[in-house]
Amino acid sequence: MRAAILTLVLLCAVASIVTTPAAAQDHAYILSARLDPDAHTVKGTAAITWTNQSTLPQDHLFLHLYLNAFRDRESVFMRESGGQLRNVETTGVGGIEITSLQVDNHDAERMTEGFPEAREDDATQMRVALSPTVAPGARVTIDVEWVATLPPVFARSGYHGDFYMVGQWFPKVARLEPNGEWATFPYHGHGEFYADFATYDLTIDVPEDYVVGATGERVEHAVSGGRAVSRYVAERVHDTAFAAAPWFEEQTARFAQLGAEHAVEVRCLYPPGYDAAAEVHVRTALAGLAHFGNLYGPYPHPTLTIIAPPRGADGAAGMEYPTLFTTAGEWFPVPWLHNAWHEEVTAHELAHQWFQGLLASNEVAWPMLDEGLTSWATQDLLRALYGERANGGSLVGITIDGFEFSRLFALRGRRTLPPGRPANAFHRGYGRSVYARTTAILETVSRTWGRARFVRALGEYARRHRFSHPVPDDLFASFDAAYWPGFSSAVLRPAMLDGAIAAVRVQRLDEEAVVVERLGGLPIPTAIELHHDGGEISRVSFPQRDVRYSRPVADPAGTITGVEVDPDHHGLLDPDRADDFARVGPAPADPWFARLLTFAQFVLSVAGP
Amino acid sequence: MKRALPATFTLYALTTLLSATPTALATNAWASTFGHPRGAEGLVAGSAPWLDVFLTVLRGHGAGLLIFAALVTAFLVAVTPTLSLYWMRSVRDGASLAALSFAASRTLAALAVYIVHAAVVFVIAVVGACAVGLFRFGLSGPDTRLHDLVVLAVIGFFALLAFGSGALRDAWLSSVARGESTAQAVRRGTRATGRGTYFVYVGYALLGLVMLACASRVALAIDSPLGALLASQVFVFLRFVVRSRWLETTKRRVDAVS
Ligand SMILES: [Zn+2]
Repeated sequence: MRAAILTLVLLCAVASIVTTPAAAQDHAYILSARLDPDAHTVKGTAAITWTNQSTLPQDHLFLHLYLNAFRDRESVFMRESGGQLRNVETTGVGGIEITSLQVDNHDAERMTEGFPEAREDDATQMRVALSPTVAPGARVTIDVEWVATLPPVFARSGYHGDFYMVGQWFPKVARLEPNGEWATFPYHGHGEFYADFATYDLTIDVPEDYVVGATGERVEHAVSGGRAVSRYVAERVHDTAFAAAPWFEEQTARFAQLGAEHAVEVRCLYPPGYDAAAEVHVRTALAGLAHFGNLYGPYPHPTLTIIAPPRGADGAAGMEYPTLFTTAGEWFPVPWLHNAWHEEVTAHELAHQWFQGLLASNEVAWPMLDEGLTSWATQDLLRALYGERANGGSLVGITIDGFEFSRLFALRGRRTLPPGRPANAFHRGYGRSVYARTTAILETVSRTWGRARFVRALGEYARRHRFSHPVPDDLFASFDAAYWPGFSSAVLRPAMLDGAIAAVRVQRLDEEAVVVERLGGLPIPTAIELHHDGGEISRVSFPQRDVRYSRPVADPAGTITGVEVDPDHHGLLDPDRADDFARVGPAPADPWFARLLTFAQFVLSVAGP
Repeated sequence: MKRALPATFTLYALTTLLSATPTALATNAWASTFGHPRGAEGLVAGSAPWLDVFLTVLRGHGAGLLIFAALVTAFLVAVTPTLSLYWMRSVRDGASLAALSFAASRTLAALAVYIVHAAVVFVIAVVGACAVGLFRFGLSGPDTRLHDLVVLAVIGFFALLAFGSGALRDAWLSSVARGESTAQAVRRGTRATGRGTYFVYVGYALLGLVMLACASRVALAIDSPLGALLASQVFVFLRFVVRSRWLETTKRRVDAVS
C-alpha cells in the first residue's frame, strides 16, 4: 500500500514535470521562407504574436536581426570575433533587409536610438515603437517581410556550394524580462541565445530537388511548379532554423522513453558517402536521448534532426538549435578517439537540447549555464558510452580521461576569467573557462561527493526549470538542496564566480615529517596515501576544514617514505598534479631508461647509418 | 656477413652510445624532478598524472634536453656518410681498421653521394606535394571519398618512392667503396639498381623497423630494468644485422655490373 502511494506520488511528480506551463501561446511565429539558391537569399515573411508578459507597459520592443552581423566587418560580431570563428575566415557578406514592418496592421516606426549596448555600424538590433503602448498581458501582432542574404558560411549561418544552413535568419523579438527590462544585445562573438518560448510555424519553399531538415515536425509537404513546399511546426521552442541541400542522404531511427510525451523521430541528413559517420551520429544521439532523458527529464519534442555538414562548410558545424543541430566530422569515423568530431560534437549539441533548448537561460549573461553545463554533460555521456576514464578515447590499451584534458586546458597556462562571467567579458580564454573550467568544477564535485548525488542535483535543476529561463541562483539552489545548505556558497560560487581552485601539494617529506597543504581556497575533502618502508600503504583523510596535514614520518607501520595526495584523482581543480606526491630515498630502479632508449634508437636509425 | 660483423657491431655500439646520452639525461631529469615511480606507471595507465609530470619535466629541462638531442642528432648526421662508407667497405674486405682509414680518406665522395640522394628525395617531395596540391579531382560534389582515397594513394606512392630511393644511395655508396669517383659511382650504382631492387630494399628496411618495434615492445613488457635493456638491445642489434645483409646484396649487385 505504501509502495502504491509512493508510486502514485512519483507518477504525479512526473506528470507535473511533463505539464510544466510553458505559456507558449503568448508568443507565436508564423514564418515563411523561400530559398533562392541562385541569389543565396531567403525571402521571408513573419506574423509574430507577442504578449507583454512583464509587469510594465511597453512603448517599444526590440527585434534581433542577427544576420546583419555579416553585413560588413564593423559589426560587433565581426569585431569581437575578428571575422573568424574556430579558425574559419569570413569570405563574403550577408544580412537582413526589411521591406515591410507593421504592428497591428499599421506601419511601424523604426527607432534608431535607445539601444542597450548601442554601437555605431551594428545593425543586429532594431527598436520598434509600439503605439499605443502595450499594457501588461496585452498582445500585438507584428507583420514583417524581409530578404535575408546568406553569407558563404563561416559562422553558423550561410551556404557552401548548394548546402544551406539557415540560422538567425528572421527578425526575432528579444526577450522582455518580467520586471519590464529588455534583455537585448547585439550579436556577440560568443553567445547568441536568449528568447521566449513560442510556437513556430514555418513554411519552407525550396527547389523541388532540395531535401530540407528543419526545427519541428513536418505537417505538410507538397511539390508543384518545380518547388517543394513543406510546413514545420514546433511548440515550446525559442528559435527555428533549417538546412537544405539537393544531395542530402538520410538515416532515421525511432526513440521511445517511458514517461516521455512522444516517441522521437531521429533523422540524420548527411552528404553522400558519409553513411558510416551518420551511423555514429544516430547511435550517439539515441544513447544520448536515453542518458540525458533519464537524468534531466525526457526529451519533449517529437523530432530531432541532425545535420552533418559537407567538407568546406565547417563554419556551420557543431551548432545547436531547438530540435535540430549540426554536427561535425569527416566521412570516416575515428573509432578510437571519442573526444573529437563525431561522437563528441553530436553528444555536445544533443546536450544543448536540454541546456539551452529546454533550460533557456541567457547565454550572453551566463554562458556557463549553457556551454558549461553542456560540456560536463557531454563528457558524462561519453563516459557512459566508453567507460570510466576512457571518455576521451582509447587506443591499444591506453585510455584517455577527457576530464583530465578539461583540467589541463582550463588551468594550465595564462589565467582566464572565471566561467561565471558574461560571454562578452571574454576577449580570450572563453573555451578554456566556460567550457573546460566549468567541466572541471562540476566533475570535481561529482567525484568528491559521488556522481549519484551530483546528477540528483543537476537533474533536479534541469527538471524543475525546463521551459523556463533559469539563472545561476536556480542552479545553486538545486545543489544546496541535494548537498547541504550553504554548499554552493562554500564551493560552487567561489569556483564559478570567483575562479577559486582547489590545489593540493606535498609541501615537505624528509627524515622527520610529512606535510601536505591545500592551496586555492576551495574546501574539497581528499585522501592522502602514505607509503611505508615495509611496503605497506595506508590511507588517511584530509578533511575539507583543514588547510594543512602534518605528521612525523616515524610510524608503527614503518617509516613513511612516500606520500601521495588525492590518489584517486578526484580533484580536477588542481593545476599541477606533479607536486601531489613525493618520496625520500633513492627511486627504485625502473625500466624506463631501456624503454626510452629504444625510442631514441629509432629516431637515430632514421638519421644515422 | 661474418666479415662485416665487427663493423656492424661498432656502428650499433656507437649509435647506442649516442642514443643513450640524451635518454639518460631525460630519465635523470624525470627522476630529479620528481623521483617517484608513480609518474612512470601513469605513462601506461593513461590517465593523470603523467601529463602533469611530463609538462613539469618539459618546463624544467625541456629546452636543455632538446638542444642536447639536436646536437647529438646533428653530430650523427654529420658523420653518417663516413660511417656508412666504413660499413660498406667492411662488407667488402672485412678489414676494420683499413676500412676506417679508407672511409676517412673518401669522406668527400661519400658526402657527395648523400647530398645527391638528399636532392633526389627533395625533388620527389616537391613533385609529390605539387601533385597532391593541384589534385582537385572528385571535389566538385559533397562526396569527397574518391578524392581522399586517390590523394592517399598519391601520397603513398611518392612516400614509397622517396623511401625506396635509399636503394640507389646504398648502391652509389657501395660503388664508392670499390674506390670509384662519385660520378662513376652514381653511374654504376644506378645501373645496378633495377626496379625490383627498390622492393627488396623496402623489404629489408621494413624488416629493420619490425626489429625496432619488437625492441620497444619487449622493453615495455619486461619490468626488470636490466632484463628490459638486454632483451630490447638484442632486437636493436638485429636491426643492424638486417641492414648489413642488405648491404651485402648491394655489393654483389654493384660488382655484377660490367
Ligand atoms: Zn555548445
